[in-house]
Amino acid sequence: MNYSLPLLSIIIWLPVFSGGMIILATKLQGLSIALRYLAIIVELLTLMILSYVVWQFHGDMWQMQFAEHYKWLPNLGIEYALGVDGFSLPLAFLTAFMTLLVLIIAPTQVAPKDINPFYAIFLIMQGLMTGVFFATDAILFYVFFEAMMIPMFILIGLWGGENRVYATFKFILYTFIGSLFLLVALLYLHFVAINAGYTGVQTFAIDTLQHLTLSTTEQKYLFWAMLFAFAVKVPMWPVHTWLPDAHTEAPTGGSVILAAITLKIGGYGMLRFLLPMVPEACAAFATTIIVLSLIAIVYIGLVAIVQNDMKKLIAYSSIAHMGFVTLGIFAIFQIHSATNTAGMGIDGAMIQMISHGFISGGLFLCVGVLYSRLHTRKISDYGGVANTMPVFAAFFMLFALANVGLPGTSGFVGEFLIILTSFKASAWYTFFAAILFVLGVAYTLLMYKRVMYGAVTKNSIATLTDLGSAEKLAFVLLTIAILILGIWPNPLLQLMRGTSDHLVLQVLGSN
Amino acid sequence: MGKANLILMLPEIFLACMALLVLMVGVFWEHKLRYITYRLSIFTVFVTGIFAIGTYSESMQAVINNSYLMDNFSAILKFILCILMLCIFLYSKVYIDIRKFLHAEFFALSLFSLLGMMVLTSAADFLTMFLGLELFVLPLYATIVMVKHQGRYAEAAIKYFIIGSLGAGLLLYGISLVYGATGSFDFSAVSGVQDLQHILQLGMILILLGIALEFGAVPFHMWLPDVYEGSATAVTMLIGTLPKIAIFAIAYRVLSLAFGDVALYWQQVILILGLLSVIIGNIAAIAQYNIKRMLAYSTIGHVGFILLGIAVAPQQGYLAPLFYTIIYAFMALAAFALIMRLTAQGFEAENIEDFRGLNRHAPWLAFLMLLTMFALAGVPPLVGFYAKFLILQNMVANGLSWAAILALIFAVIGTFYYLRVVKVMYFEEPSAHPHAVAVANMSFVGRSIVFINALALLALGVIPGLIVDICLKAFR
Repeated sequence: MNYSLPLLSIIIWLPVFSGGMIILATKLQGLSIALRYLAIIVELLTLMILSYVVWQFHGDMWQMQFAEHYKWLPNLGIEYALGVDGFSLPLAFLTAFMTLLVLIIAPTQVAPKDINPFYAIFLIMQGLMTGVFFATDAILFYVFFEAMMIPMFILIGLWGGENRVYATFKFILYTFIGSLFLLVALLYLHFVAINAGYTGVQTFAIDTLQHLTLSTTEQKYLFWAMLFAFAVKVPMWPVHTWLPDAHTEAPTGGSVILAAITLKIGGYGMLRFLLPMVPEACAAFATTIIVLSLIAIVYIGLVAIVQNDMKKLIAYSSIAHMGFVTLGIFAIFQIHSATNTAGMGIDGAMIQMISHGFISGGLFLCVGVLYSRLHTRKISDYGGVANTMPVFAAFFMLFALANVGLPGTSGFVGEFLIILTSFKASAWYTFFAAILFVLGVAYTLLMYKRVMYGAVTKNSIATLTDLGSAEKLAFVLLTIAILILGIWPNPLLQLMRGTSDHLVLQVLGSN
Repeated sequence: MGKANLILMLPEIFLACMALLVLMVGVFWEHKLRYITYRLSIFTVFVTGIFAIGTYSESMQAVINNSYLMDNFSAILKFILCILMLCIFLYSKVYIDIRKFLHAEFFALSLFSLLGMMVLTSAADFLTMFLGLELFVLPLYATIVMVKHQGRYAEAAIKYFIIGSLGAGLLLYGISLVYGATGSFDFSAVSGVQDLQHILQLGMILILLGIALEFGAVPFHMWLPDVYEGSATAVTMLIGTLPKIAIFAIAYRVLSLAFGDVALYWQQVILILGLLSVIIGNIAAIAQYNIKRMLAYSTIGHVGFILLGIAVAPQQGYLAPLFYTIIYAFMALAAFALIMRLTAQGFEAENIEDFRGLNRHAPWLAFLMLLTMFALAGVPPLVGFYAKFLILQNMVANGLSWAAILALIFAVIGTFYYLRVVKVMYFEEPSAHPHAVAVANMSFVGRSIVFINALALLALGVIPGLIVDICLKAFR
């Protein structure tokens, strides 16, 4: 494999630079429309390159592919190193796809004068988030991990709802506190790597850090340090409190990206750092994490039922669904019989993450569509919308059912795999996890019923207009994605076959 | 010691002569030729900088009875001091007109202060060190009171003077004790003494405290916020940037040359001072509404990080604290310059509220301030992150992970007040009275350099290796 073009770097930096250029050119009034198209074109181009990478990707290999290595800070052992494997590629694709949807739908959500900076921030954010997934150097990962906070902070603060300043501060301080423990953990691993005889840029390479021999005590400390960073992102109960605020106050596009991508960085971090680096500690604390996940699933599911704010409801639903992801990841430590079942847990967690990206993104877009028309998120302000917006009602129904985990939609596949895995570990886990199926139906469909059905009682509802063409396009794309993943998940499973198997071998092989 | 060696002191000699000349020119020609002292000072600093980098050589040389060291470290630091001074002069040209400074005096005093700092970077014995310290602090007292504005300049100057004198007293007493124990002022003579008698220990601690006081480390930090707040912005900029580098230089000299062998005796002290500074500086900054006071407390926090770096330096090397100090100086320079951009006739940007809604009126200015704030907060990809990163790396390598976590927690707390400035600029509506940005309060050259200065914080964050290499050269 001899690739001349640094494709991964292009995928990261093309949107970032285009975003920067759009900000610079915002003042030029004449270019306004052109810049808007430029953003879309850049986004499509990125997706095309990404598709090419997917096309050329060998799913049965676990090694990093399309790897790039450049000198960056050789004196400190830091390298600009990129690569993709079966975990990062689907998530990177998800990032680009969801950003495209946000860009398509943005003109209906944001005031015309803000549209270009809005586009620019999303392009920059997309590049940085893709960087998180592509980085194979721990510090490069950390740099992207933190850097993507800056555009998100500004995005929520500038275009958020009434309580946006509080929400954005809570969000950024929470994640900063989390990531500082990650930084110290990485520095400690680096220190261990130096003592183990590694030199130069190897000392921060994620691959090196995964192969260090650590004492049990060290592993335990490192586990909690790294877990905290990723748990805040996922978010796990009890460090989830930033999420309802941030998701609720963010503009529609921000909520979509937060739910679809930012949360996945937490899960991805667990798969990339936590499991391979400190497997013993993961095994030792698996029960704790599983219990936390179950609390998230049951307790947060209950909390979701009583919400009167649609966005808040979906935000809580996200926490509950991400509880499934952590459950799937950590349930594998309690299966003793067959390792191929363990692989199922990882696969399930990955599919659940991708699918949740589509579904929660779709639901937030639905709320955005309603919000852009009536400027309220309160469930009680709606009722009978299906009468005036039939097309919208159909799409909303599909996303709602996918959120519930209807077979045939992507929501089913991941949850099913995770339920299977957890059953091998303990039937009790399955019992509690399955409660989400009931609670999920309750809160999702109750919301749907109260918003969409019933007679039109309010004048504002009677005058609603159905979806515009941009909104239709976004919803159709999303629907295709949800259905394909639900009916035929095999390509995605094949894509991460090698990576997933290798991770299981790495983690459980030591037992 | 011969004639050839004195040529090595050319930067200092030239600077001293030119500072006197500026003073004289100011007395006789200032009223006839406007800006002549300004131009002369710019020229002086520029040429001094070139001379300073000219002393860069592969070998270390000592002059005047080994009391004055010329090595890569001093050459590079002097060069950086000159760059900073040049920037300050360029930034404050119009400002000192608006605030009705006495031109000649301001420039001459600044030049003398610069001379003192350059002496400090090269000091190789306690006497030279004391001389340099006094030479750099005394003119600063005078610059604070030189401009009469509505603020509390007199309080600031007197506080600075008294605390500075206290520091000088501590230093002198420490030096005398060390002299009593070793019979020499020479740094290297002290390092020869193996067993530390009590008298020498006491002397060492007093000298360390004197240095910590000049640094503004907790618990000797009380003067810093008052001085920052009470001084005119141009003077705050002067006090807030260059002295940090000079004090770091002398800390490096004293601790590595004189007390390098007995590091165990002082590492704990510095570590505690550093942690206290990080904690108290960052917490106190949250409560500030005056932006200069806030930056003063933030300085204390940053000084804490530098001290933490110094505390582990005997094992890990002085690269990290040097890098931090240089980066900090440039970040603070950008911050004060941007505050200065909001100044107008009869209006001095003092409060964080003055930045309200700045994004509407001056998006570029707001963006530059945003970069500076994120850089100070240490968020990647801005350069402030790598400064913290290096320090933390050294701490963890020294087995101080707990201290690293503690320091980082308070650094994150510190993020809050930097972000508050961003919040005020971006998320709030402009206040009733218009911003002064439209007023020409900075020359075109000054504005361009502020622009470069702030953008460099981002650019260097993308390629931090540049400054790291320079710092590495300093220790070669």
